[in-house]
This record gives sequence, C-alpha cells and structure tokens, in this order.
Amino acid sequence: MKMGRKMIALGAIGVVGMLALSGCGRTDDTPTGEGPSAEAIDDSPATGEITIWAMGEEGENLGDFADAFVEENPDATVTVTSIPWADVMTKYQTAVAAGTVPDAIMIGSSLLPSMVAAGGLAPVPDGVVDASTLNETAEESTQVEGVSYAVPWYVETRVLYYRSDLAEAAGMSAPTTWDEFTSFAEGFRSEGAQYGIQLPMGDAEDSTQVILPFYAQAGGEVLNETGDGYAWNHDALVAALEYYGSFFTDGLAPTSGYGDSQTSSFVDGSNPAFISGPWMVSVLADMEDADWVADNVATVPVPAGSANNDSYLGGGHLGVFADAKNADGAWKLIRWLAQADTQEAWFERTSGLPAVTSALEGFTSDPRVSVLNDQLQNTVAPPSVPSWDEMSAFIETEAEKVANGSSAEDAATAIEAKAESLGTGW
Amino acid sequence: MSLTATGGAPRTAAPLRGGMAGQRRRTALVAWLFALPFLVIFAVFMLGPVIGSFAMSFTDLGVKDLRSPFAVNFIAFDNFVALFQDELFVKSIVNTFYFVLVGIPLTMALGLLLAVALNSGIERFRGVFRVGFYTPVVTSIVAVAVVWRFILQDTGLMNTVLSWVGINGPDWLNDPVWAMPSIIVMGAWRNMGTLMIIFLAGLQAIPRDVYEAAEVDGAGAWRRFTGMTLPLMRPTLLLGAVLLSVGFLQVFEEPFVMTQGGPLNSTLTISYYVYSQFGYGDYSLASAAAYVLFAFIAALSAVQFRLLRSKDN
Repeated sequence: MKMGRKMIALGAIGVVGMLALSGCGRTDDTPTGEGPSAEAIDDSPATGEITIWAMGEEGENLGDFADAFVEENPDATVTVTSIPWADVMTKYQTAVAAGTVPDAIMIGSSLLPSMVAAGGLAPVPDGVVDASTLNETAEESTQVEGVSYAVPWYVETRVLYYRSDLAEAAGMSAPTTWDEFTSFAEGFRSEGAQYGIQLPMGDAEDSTQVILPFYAQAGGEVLNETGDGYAWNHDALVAALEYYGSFFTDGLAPTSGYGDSQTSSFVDGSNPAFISGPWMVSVLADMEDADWVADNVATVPVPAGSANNDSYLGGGHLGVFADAKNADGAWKLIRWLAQADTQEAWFERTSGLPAVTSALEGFTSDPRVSVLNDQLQNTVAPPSVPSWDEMSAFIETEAEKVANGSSAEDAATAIEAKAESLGTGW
Repeated sequence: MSLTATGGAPRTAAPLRGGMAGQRRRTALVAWLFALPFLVIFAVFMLGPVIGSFAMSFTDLGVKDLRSPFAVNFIAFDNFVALFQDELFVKSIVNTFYFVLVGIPLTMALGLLLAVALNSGIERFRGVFRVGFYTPVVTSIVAVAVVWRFILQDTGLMNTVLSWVGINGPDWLNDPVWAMPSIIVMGAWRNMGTLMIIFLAGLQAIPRDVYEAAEVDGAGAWRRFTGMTLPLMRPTLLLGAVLLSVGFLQVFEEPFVMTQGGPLNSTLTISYYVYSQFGYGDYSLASAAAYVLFAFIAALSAVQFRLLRSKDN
C-alpha cells in the first residue's frame, strides 16, 4: 500500500516533468548517514582539474591563493567559481539533484546540516586531516551522526566590542560576568549615552547568535547526548531569555536591534558597545580610521554566565561531492588548505581565523587576535541539524516577545513545544 | 481518410475545396512551427513548474528527497491541513488581507486623485508630474527601502516632522502595531503611479463634450465626478482593482527588504511564508501554501469582476 502511494506521488511528479528529478537519472546511490566509504587519500601529488565553489571573500581570494598549491602539484589545476552567499543552497540542491556537481564546495558552517540532509556530500576519508589539530567545536560542527562530512577551513567567533575611551572616562573596566555586563551598560547610559549596549533583534538580525551563547553560558545544551533530539534545559533557557530580554525592557538596548545605525551610533558614542566578529575592526577603521580604532575601541571575551563564557562559533568548512570527478585531487587541495602554514598565509590574506589551532599562535602578539584566541577556547556552534533554521527563526520571535515585556517562562515553554513538533529534521 | 487530407495532393486532381483545406493546413503547420519555440519554453519553464508544484503540494517532498525520488509519498491533503493548523500561516493570511484591504482602497484613491488632478488642472506641468509620480514604480525597491528605513527610524525624518507638531512618533518599522501600516503606505506609494497612468488613460477616453453638456445643464464639479466620471470609468477601475489585488495578495518585496517579516511576525505575508518554507527545505508545504494563495487570488478577482460589472448588464 505504501509503495502504491509512493508510485502515485512519483507518477504525479514525474509526469509533469520535475526537471530537477528527471534530469538526474541517478537515484540514491549515496544515502546520508552511510559510513566512510572513500578510500584513504595517499601522498602522491594531485592531478587533473579540481573545480571548487566558494562564497564571499573566500571565493574571490582562493583562485590566486591556490597558485601555490598548483606549483607543488604541477599536474593539477584549480578552478574556483565564486558564488553569492544567498544562492548557495539553491545552487547546491540543483547541482546535486541534476548530477552537475563540481568537485568541492565551501560550506558555511550553519549550512552543513541542510547540505548533508539533501545528500551529495562524501564523508571525509582517512588521511586528509588530523582532527586533533583542529578547533574542537568547529570539528564537531562538521559531524552528522558521528560521520564528518567536511573539513573546517576557518572559524569566526564573537567578542565584546566597546568604546574604551568612554569606559575609562566613566571609570569602568571590562565586564566579566552577566551582572557586571548589565551594570557596564548602565554605566555608559549614566555617562550620557543614549543606550548602553547593542544587541541583535529578531529574525532579520539572527538574534540566536547571541541568545544561543547566553543559553550555553547559563549551562544549557541544545541537543541531547546522542544528537538525535533537542534537549532544551528549561531553567537555562528561561535564564537566557530573561537575560536577553532584560537589556531591552530596562531600556539599555534599543528594540530596533543593530538597525541601520550599528556602527554610526558606536562611533558617535550614543550606543558604545556590541557583540560581533573580527570583521568589525576593519569596518570601523573604514568609517573612521585605523588610529581612531586603536585609540578608542577595545575587544574582550564575552562576559560569563553561571556556567561559562561561550561565544558563538561560525565559520567555513570544505567538503567534497560524492559524485566528484576528481575527488582525490579535491581532498588533496583541502588537505593542503588545512595545513598550519597554509592557514597562516590564508589568515594574512583574508583575516579568516585558522581552524587549525596551532596556526593562531603565530599571531597572538597582536592583542586583538589574542582576545579572539582566548574566546575560541569557549565557543558554542549552532547544532548540526536541518531543522535548526526553522527552530532559530522561532526562537528569535519568542525572544522578541520577551524583549517586548512578555514572560520568559512562556517563551521557553513555546520553544520546547516547537522543538518537540519539529524534531531534528533528519 | 481522403486524399485531400494530405497537404501534398496534386492541385489539378483535387477538388477546389480540398486544395484550400490543404493550403490552410500548411499555413497552420507553419504557424505552429513559428510558435513552437515559445510553446516549448512555455511548457518547460512556466507550465511545468506550475503543474509540478501543484502535484508536489499533495506529497511530502522535502530536501531529503532530492536525490531519492522514490522516497516521496502521496499524502493527499495533509499539507493543507497542516497549513491551517500552523499559527504562523494563519497569521500570514491575516497580515496579507490587512495589507490588501487597507492597501487597495488607499492606492486606488491616490491613483485616481493624481489622475484627475493631472487630467484637469495642471496642464503646463503635466509631463513633470507624470514622471514624478511614476518614478517610484520604476525605482529599485532595494534602493528605495534604504531611504524609507532612514525616514521611518525612531530618530528619522518622519518623527522629526511629527515632533514639530508635538507628536512623539513610534519606531515605525520596529513596532508590531505600526510596522504593517508603514509597509502599506510604502506599497501604496510604490503602486499609485501605475494606477495613475491607467486611470489617466481612462479619463482621457471620456469625450469632452459629455462634460460640456453636463456643465450647461448646471452640474457642479462633484456631481460631474460622481455622476459621470466614476460610472464611465467603471471598466478602468475594474482593471486597476484586479491588477492591484493580484499584485498586493502576493506582497513580498516590501516586507522582505523592510522588516524581514518582523517585528513579531507582524509583517509576515503569505508569499513570505512560502519563501521561508522553501528555505527550510519543506518544498511540498511551500507549494501547498502557494496554491492556497492562488485560490485567494482567483476568488478575490472573481468577486471584483462580479461587483464592478453588475451595473453594466
């Protein structure tokens, strides 16, 4: 009976010519969750053309950067196609369904679960990378049910930015705990700033990037130990939502979130603190100048809750398609990109923090990098499950309600119920 | 059947009528040949996806099934049931109708007002005004959105102007109560130009001597407008209303670029819901939602035709 219904559905779709499906001709030869099947990668030089898709700054820089790889592997060529971030999933899904994949692809860490769910990625074979050299949270975020589908390439984490000149004038030092963080924001306001802190608000600004860390700081875990279900800790969730909401209800943060004036209100001192990633240094330097940033802007790890001071960990991974024509070459390119010295060179080119832990040590004399390095010891990455996108959009709306004065208790209960009905999405 | 049915029948041997039929067939064949490229493209890129998504809405096709189509199940109306049990979808319907029911009269009124003003008074500057009021239609929504967001900020131009008359304005786009009205005003502003052009054409098709006769009979301006202009404009108003409601029911760009559906989902529209479900990889549910929207558009258009046509018969 079940098969009969399937055939009806398939017939309906097939008849009307769902191009993506009819064009592919290959069915599910690589179901997800299959154990590592690829052969180990040997040490012979890479050969042939290696095609790779990459986004953003990485896509623009990788082509030239890979020349060094081609010099070491003269029989290989590397062709990089730069694609916009917004198109990644569509392009990925179309390519997988139609069987027109490149060899390798850059994977935004939060996209990994959706990509694995859609199928098409090959498990990482032996001999590509020594997992113990990598940032642990980043390495974990490449795994689905114990199988790693990508190699971490670079990581980014968020730290607290504040106006050191204004803090000094107010006689304040950087906060290290939740309570201190609140009085820190109050301190700015009593010194005449309009607000004390900028926090993201709602789906548009992906506010889970601070709410998830708040939750982790209160001691919460998102998934259960086996990773096959959400396991919201009610008390930690309430604490995180209450804490997030308190900044808005106390008038310390504007309910417009970062809005269009994130940097300008930071620069003019009307809202002198925010939590963001390493890229903000150059954004601020572009707005004013590098000297102004050096004199007036400080970064510190985010303040700790009752459990820890976890911050959000994002970043980019590299994966290879199961249908890649040159999988061997692609893995060799990825292995090269994951070497410590390559990672150092890549950091100098793009400011992407190395996913290889030892590669960061060369830079820790720079105080800003050392802050990032400190923060990297304590991070939380979004859970590797396909339903996280929908889950996080729901959390953002519930958190918005709390910020507008409704109860954190109700919001936490709603989030738990939503998690129950969504499941992980596998 | 008969010899004449084949187009290549010798002219002399065939009866006259048969020859003409063959000729017609040949003409028809050539016409089809010329139309073929369009028909193929239409079938593949328009008809295919339309029917495909209709079929999809009765299955559980999701992101996981892209590579394994045999795993797709026929689930009849389950998606539609799930949709109407989803608070978010119900909210998106309410929001969409809020946008449509307030936005359409407002936009129609603005368009008609502009058209009447341009048609009567301001002869000399007509060109300038036509261009001016039409500019929002042809300007990129993304560029416009940036400017509007600055205007509507809590410290923006709108609140500055309001403060001159002692009103303490809200943070328009971040206030769950005011976000949708703000979006509606922007939607009206963007679309009034199109209606102005349509209505202006309608107004100019009304013969002048009808008005002159009415004037001689002593009809005032308001009487002429309600007694003559509006009835004579009925078909044009109908066209405007139908075009506008088809567009407004699908409202997407304004909330997408201005508020991302927020705050508190107060500007989440049906199209936006469809878009986000596709993003979550739930293709079948998104297709079902799209067909619910289609049903609304078809129903509303039918109602409008009935309401505005009835007096013609």
